[in-house]
Formats: sequence, C-alpha cells, structure tokens
Amino acid sequence: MLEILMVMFAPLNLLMMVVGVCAGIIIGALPGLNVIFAISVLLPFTFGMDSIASMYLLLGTYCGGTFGGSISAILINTPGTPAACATVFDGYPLAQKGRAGDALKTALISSFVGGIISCFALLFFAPQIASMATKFGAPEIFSLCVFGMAAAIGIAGDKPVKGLIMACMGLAFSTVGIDSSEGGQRFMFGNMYLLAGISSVAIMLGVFAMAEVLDKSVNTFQADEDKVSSLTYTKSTIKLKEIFKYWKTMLWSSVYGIVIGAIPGTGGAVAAMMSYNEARRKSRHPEKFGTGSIEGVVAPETGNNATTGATLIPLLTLGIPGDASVAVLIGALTMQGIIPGPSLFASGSSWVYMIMGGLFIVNVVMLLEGLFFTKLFANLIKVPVKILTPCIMMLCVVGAFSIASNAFNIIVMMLFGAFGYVFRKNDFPLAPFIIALVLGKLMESNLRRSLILSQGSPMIFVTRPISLLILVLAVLSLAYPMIRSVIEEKKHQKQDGGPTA
Amino acid sequence: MKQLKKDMVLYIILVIISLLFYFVAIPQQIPLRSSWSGDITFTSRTFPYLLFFVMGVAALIGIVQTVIKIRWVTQPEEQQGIKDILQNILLPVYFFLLAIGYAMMFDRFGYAIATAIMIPVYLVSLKCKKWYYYAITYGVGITVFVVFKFLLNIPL
Repeated sequence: MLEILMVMFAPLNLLMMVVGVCAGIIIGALPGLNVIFAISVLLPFTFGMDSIASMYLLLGTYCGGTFGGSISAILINTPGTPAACATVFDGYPLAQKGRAGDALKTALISSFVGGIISCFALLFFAPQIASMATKFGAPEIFSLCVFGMAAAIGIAGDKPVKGLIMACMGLAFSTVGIDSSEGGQRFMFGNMYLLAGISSVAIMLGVFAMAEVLDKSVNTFQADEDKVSSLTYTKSTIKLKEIFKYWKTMLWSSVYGIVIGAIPGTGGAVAAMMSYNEARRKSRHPEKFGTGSIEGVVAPETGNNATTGATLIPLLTLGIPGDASVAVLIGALTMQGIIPGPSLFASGSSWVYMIMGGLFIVNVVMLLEGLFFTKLFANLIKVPVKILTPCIMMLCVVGAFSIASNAFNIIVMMLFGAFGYVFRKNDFPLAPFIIALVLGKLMESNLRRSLILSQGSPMIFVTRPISLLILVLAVLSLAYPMIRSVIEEKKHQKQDGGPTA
Repeated sequence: MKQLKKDMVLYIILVIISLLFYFVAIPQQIPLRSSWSGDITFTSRTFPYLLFFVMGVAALIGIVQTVIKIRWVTQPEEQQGIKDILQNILLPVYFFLLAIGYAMMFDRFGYAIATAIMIPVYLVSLKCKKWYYYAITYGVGITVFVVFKFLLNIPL
C-alpha cells in the first residue's frame, strides 16, 4: 500500500498527470479534435517513459479531454468532443444569457464527480471481474471480442454495414506479420518492416490525427477564414450548493456512465446523451431543458466523465477496450510490454492498483486545473486552424518516427491518414476499425483454440453458457440500434413517401 | 444522391478488393504449413479468408441497400461544377502530397531541414498572410525538436 502511494505521488508521475490533463483539456476544447486524437498524438511522448508515468499522462489526457469538450460546447455551440454533444443543449443557452462561467464551473464539478464515482466503480468491480475472468476460456474470450466489436458497430446506428466493413478491415490489418501459431508470414509483401505487423500506433496516428490534418487543411483552404466566433467567458458566480442541488441527477448519470462505459465498444457520447435524456424525463421541470438549465449541463457532463474509469474495467480485466479512446491505450501498453487482462491482477503485481489509484488523483488534478485555468483554456479555443494544422502534422510525423526510429512508420501513418480521410468523408465509422485492430490477434488466437478444443465444431460458442450469454448480448447490442433505425426510417417513409438519401 | 453514388463506388471497390484478396493475395501471401493441430483445418489462411468473405458479403449488401435507396430518392441532385468536383478531389490529394513530401524530406535531410522547408510551404498553401503565424509555427517546431531530441532522446 505504501509503495502504491509513493508511486502515485512521485513528482514525475504527478507532473505527467498535470501535463496530460492540461493537454487533454486544450485538445478536447478545440472543435474537431477529439480525445482519441489527443491520446494518439501524445502516445509517442510515452515511448521513453516508465509505464506508470506514461499511463498517467494518457489517462490525464483522457479525463481532461472528456471534460475539455464542454468548453467549446458552451462557448461556441460546437462540442469539442463527441462526449460533449449533449452539453451544447443547455450549456450554450446558458452562455448566451451571460452565464458562461457558471456553465463551465458546473461542467467541471459534474465531470469531477462523475470521474471520482467511476474510479470507485473501477476499484470495486475490476478485481471481481478479473477473478471471474480467470475462469474464462478461449470461447468466452472470443465471444467477448465479438461483443466488443458488435457494440462498436451497433453504436454506428444506421450504418451497420459500414461498421461491419470497417471492423473486418481492422481485423484484416491485425493479421499482417508473422502468424504466432504457425510462424508463417502473412501479407508482408516481402517487406521485412512488417515482420511484427503494422504498428498500431502508426495506424492510430494516421487514422485520427493525420486524417484530421488533411480534413482541416482542405476546409481551411476552401473557407479561407480561421476566426472562431465564441461567446465571452464570464466569471462564475454559481455556488457549489446550487450545483449539488442536483445530486440525484449526478448519481443516476454516474450509474449510466459506468454501465455504458463498462460495455466494450461504447463511450462517452452515448453516456452523455442517455444521462441527458433520462434527467429530462425525470425532471420536475423538463420544459427548462434546452433553455439554459443547470441540470441540463450536470447530467451529460457527469455521465460522460463517469465512463472514464468504467472503460478501464474491461480493458484491465479482460484486455478488451471499453471504447475507441481506450483502444489507443492498448497501443501504449503494448509498447511498454504490458498485456492487459486477468493476469495483471493474478500476478500479484501492484501495477494495476497504481493505475486505478492514480485515476483518483487525475480527477483531482482536472478539478484544480479547471478551477484555476478555465479562462485560459477558454481563450485557447481561438487558436487559428492555420497554425494548428502544420503543428499537428509535425507532431504526427515525429510521433510516427519515434515508434522505431525509422521512416517506414511515417509512410504507414501517412497512408492510414489518407485511409482515415477517405472513409470518414464517406461516413464510415472509425471506432469499429480501431477496436477490431486491437482485438484482432486476441480474437483469432481464441477462435483457433476454441475450434481445436471442440474438434472444429463452432457449437462450442453456444453450448458454453457464459459464451452463449455474451453472444446474445452481442446480437442485442447490434440489433437494437438497427431495429430502432429501421422503425425511424419507416416513419420517415410514411412522411416523405420513400427512403431518404 | 451524391453520397449514395459515392457509397456505391466505395462498395464496388470493396467487393473487388475482397475478391482480389480472397482469390489472389491470400494464396500468394500466406504459405500453407502443416498444422500442428492434426485434423483441425484452422490454418494461417482461415481467419483472413473469413474476414474477406464477410467484408465482401457486407459490401454486396451495401450495394443492394444503396440501389434500393437510389430508386426512392425524390430530391433532384444538385449539379456541381467541374471546378467544385476538381477542388474536392485535387485539394486533398495536394495536401496529402505535401505531407508525403515532408515525410520524404524528413527521411533524407532530418527533422530540422524538412520542417524549416515545410512550414512556409504549408502556410502559403493555406493562404496564410500573417507573419506571426509563421513565427508561432516555427516556435512550435523548435519546441517539438527540443522535447523529442533532448528530453525523450529520440534521434531526429
């Protein structure tokens, strides 16, 4: 216990938390740049670091970025990250009434509360799930991988076919390199740089960061303006008791955030929307939502930050990312030689407890930085895009080079940048791609083991009760959004006389 | 309607890629070895075959869905000028080539020279006229160099 506390409060580790949260808030606040982008860009900075320090940096970025999206949501009516999509509804009207400071303080306090509650959930549930997971066999792990991808595809809503295609592509890219079971080469095309596969870090940098550079460059050229019009930040006058008046909303939103975050493949955006909708439904004054209600900011911000600890539950216990942002963390862990999964807990090492404990401090750091520097962060969203794009490109190129100190990964990053740009422009969701990419090897090896166990019969996945249950959940998570979108499409058809384009 | 046409083109390309990988790339790129697992036929090729099969089927379903949606579209398509079409295609290609050029210079001459050349070229391409934008970007470039080379010991 003492060792854990000493590591958590070590000066370098605290510094990494501060830097990570600061970078996360700034990047999260900039419209168009999201948490996945922030973690991808900061990932190369961790290569030379100790594993704990690097995780604190990236977790700080994750938590800070999730909160940071609310700054642009409130001040410029554009969510900085998808997780802040529901904060716009009441945050911006509040700012229009001259209460931007109140909205930002509410968002910060709510984010802090959601984050801390999710830390407790992580601390309590993760060891329990890890001990259950040691009893999981290959069929259960394969089914969990399928569930993770199905949930990510299901989130794509009305684009399940596109989501499935992206998931297949992610799995396909994960097969490049040497087959760990048979030792044969796969899709190397004679290139020895691909012996260990395509670097997932280079792919993530390309798909999220470089694609963003291309998109912003094209938009900036066409629009030829880079001024961001934003409402003025006003000093906050709201008291804490006015925010904590909605403690029930905070609790319920935290629960939604934790449940949604713990389901592989989902994320902060879903939690935020669900928390907002439920808060409005249960509210005694639902008519106030959308007009600048404090409760309308409390609910989504608590919900989205409550996912931050919860998404680590499946990651640390099962090795399956809770959402696409955390999928990038797997890249960081891989670079550090750490394999997430039940063995982290079973080995008796205190590493995982240092990570879980550190998340508490990250949330405290986020609260402190938010309280003292929100005005500075609010001004930073006005950074011109013309400065931003070449800077991001520099970071991408240097980051890709840092992976293995060779230029091959830069080319990989660039190609995946083009890949990400083309598919994003055509409305293909990237979350299933990235989750499939990180789960690919785990999925294939467990599929192989399962079929060996069952002498080639796929029935093993449905005859084992836990595996069957997980597959049923996977089908539900895939089918429910599709059924919902078909019902909405039929409503549209009745109104318009045909499917919409 | 424009998006539906783009979707159709992409789905067709994906079907072709799936077929190419299924029938050509997988047999060529993945040698078959005798499996240590005896009778079980799960080889190095099994998973890739499964993936490209599913991808091909999904793309075919996408084509069918798109055809159905196109038949029901009632809104007239907005006609785009040749200039707009060229801009939408050539602009991303131009910026992509700039980025590739930066990467090649980085490999050949190192970070410092590559960045020193890239920054003004990129900013001019973005029609940037304010001198302090260039100064700030160079400042960021120098900071990145210092952090990666001296703090993280990455040989730039």
